[in-house]
Amino acid sequence: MKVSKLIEKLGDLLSADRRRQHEKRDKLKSLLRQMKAQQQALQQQLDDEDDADKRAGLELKLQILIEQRKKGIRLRKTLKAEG
Amino acid sequence: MSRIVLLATVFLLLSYGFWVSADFKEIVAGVAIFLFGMMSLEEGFKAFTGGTLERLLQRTTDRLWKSFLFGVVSTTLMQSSSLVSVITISFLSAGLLGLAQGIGIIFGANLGSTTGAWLVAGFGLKVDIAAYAMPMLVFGVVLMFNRSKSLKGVGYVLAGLGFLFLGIHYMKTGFEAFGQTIDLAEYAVSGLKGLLLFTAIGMFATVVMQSSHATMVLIITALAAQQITYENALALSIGANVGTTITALIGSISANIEGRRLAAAHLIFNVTTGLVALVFIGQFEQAVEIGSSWVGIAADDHTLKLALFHSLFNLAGIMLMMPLTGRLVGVLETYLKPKPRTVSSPKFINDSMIEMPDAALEAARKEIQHLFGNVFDIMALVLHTDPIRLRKGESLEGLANPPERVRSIDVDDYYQRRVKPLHGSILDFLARTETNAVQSRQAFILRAASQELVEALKDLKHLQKNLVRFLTSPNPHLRREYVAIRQNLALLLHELHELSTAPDANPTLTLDVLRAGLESHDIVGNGTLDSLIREKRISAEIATSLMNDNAYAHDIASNLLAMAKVVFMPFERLGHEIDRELRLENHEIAALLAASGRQRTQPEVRPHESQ
Repeated sequence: MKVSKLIEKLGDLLSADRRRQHEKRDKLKSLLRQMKAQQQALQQQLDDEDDADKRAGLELKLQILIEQRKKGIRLRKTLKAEG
Repeated sequence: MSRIVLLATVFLLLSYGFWVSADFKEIVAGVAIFLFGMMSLEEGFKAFTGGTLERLLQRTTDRLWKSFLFGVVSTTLMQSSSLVSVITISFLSAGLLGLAQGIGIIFGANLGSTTGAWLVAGFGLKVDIAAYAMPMLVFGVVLMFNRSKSLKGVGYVLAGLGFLFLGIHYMKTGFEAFGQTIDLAEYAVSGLKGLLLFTAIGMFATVVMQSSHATMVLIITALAAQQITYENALALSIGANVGTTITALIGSISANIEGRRLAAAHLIFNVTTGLVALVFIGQFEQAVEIGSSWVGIAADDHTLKLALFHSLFNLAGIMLMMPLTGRLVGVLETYLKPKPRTVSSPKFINDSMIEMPDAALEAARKEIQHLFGNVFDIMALVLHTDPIRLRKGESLEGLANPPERVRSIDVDDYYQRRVKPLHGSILDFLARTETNAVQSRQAFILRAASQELVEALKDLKHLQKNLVRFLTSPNPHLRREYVAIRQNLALLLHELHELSTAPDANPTLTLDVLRAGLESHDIVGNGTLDSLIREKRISAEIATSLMNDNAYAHDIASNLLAMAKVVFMPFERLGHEIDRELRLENHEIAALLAASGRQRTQPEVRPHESQ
């Protein structure tokens, strides 16, 4: 293990706030990955759908997901800058 | 009355004992200090039950052997099997733990509690234990004045250990001095009679002191002072092991059926183990002799031999009962059945978990889901749909048409019978749960969620008056609006039910999509109402009713969504923080709707109806 990594781990161990921040970053990272997969699946569903009403519903869902992802990415950048 | 008489008798007997012998006073004071130490120790460990202990319990109990190991380790560290039992019962009652896992923990706790005897026999009697007690008490009390909950907890643990050591010291010196005046060993009874008599005495002493640990320490110190014979000490330790189940039985009185089943398993285990130890006492004594020579215990060191005997017969009980755990669970589930309950009686919350806030809050969350189930049924009836079919999502397309027949439902009657008692129980439970700052905020949010559910039902009651009138109105435009209100609410109920039964990977998305749907249904905001009035499709008088009812529908949906946000996801602080930050604001949803030019999805008006 590199020294910098070791120091980071030690810092985590000593500071509960820092540990929480790291946990939050990891959790967000995995959630964003899930959301990306969900976005791709929705896009695929939308491409395959012919019914106009259903397409409108899927489009709205996709738009909401994209907005949520944008907020998530912004949050991840903030957490990274703080950490 | 009988309790007062019993208390008075105990006081009289103790006073007489104190008057007759100063050494007896010292021994009893030792027991009292020891018990006080155990209470302080439990209080200290409770400071850590607001998360750490529960998280550990949830992570380490997915397999029987893991539960068993958790029981051994936690009881060894905390030196209190009753605290472990109480936590297990509350977790079991909250549905966070299965009965088999709970039984595994109890088996482990039994073995873990035998380490106390080893500590006292191996360490407590051989060193000047009081010398360690004093600094522990001083540091403990100083830490107890601290504001931080964790430091206060450490303070209680240190003070508890200090009192335990001091209690052992007083018992030890008391018995030594007592031995110089009276020789209790003269009253030793040998043979089967002695075995049964001293087992009963051990049971009685443990029931009175509510702690097998205290009884064991008393037995060990008396044995060290040669006030009781080794043979009688073995019988006393068997009795102490059986007597300890009384604490668990008392704890289970206020518990639900799961808690009672666990207490019964505890009783069955300890009685079986006790019986095995009594029947095979000769073989166990031989095993102790062999074991002692293996681990290097001196032939005359009866206290350590007693500790070994205590561990051996508990281990034998575990080896006997562990393979039968599945069968034991089956028997307990067959013979201990839950009382038949009404839909309005609580399923998850009960008094046994009030002192365990994390388990209590999780149980309250599940109970509000149960309340949602009751509200769902009433709402479905008001919306003229079959609750079972709506749950399954059957014939949702039919909701686009008005129902064939309409009838008014007595919402007040349903509310009084199916909602109010359960809602009251939840509020009472949340008010009595002992919480810290974070947990009390969580309790506040849960209370608000249950209130939102009730508000939604009350709004539906008001909406029902016009819903019944206009769902079959001859005016197709007006009818279409009420059919839309009914359809949107029924679909929302179905979606929420789906979310409650199988929370998907991203509930934040589902809830935001539902919120967007809610905003797009606002007929005032999307101009539908104005257009209906302008085109003289409905009168101004009817328009006010429609506007009010639209507002009711909006409030019902908003309240249901607000409740769902809290109740349909297990509370996990980080997850909630992220969820709050990712969720779209109202203006963001409005901007998305405006950008998509999305209009309310309206049920189609059949051509012949509009003419």
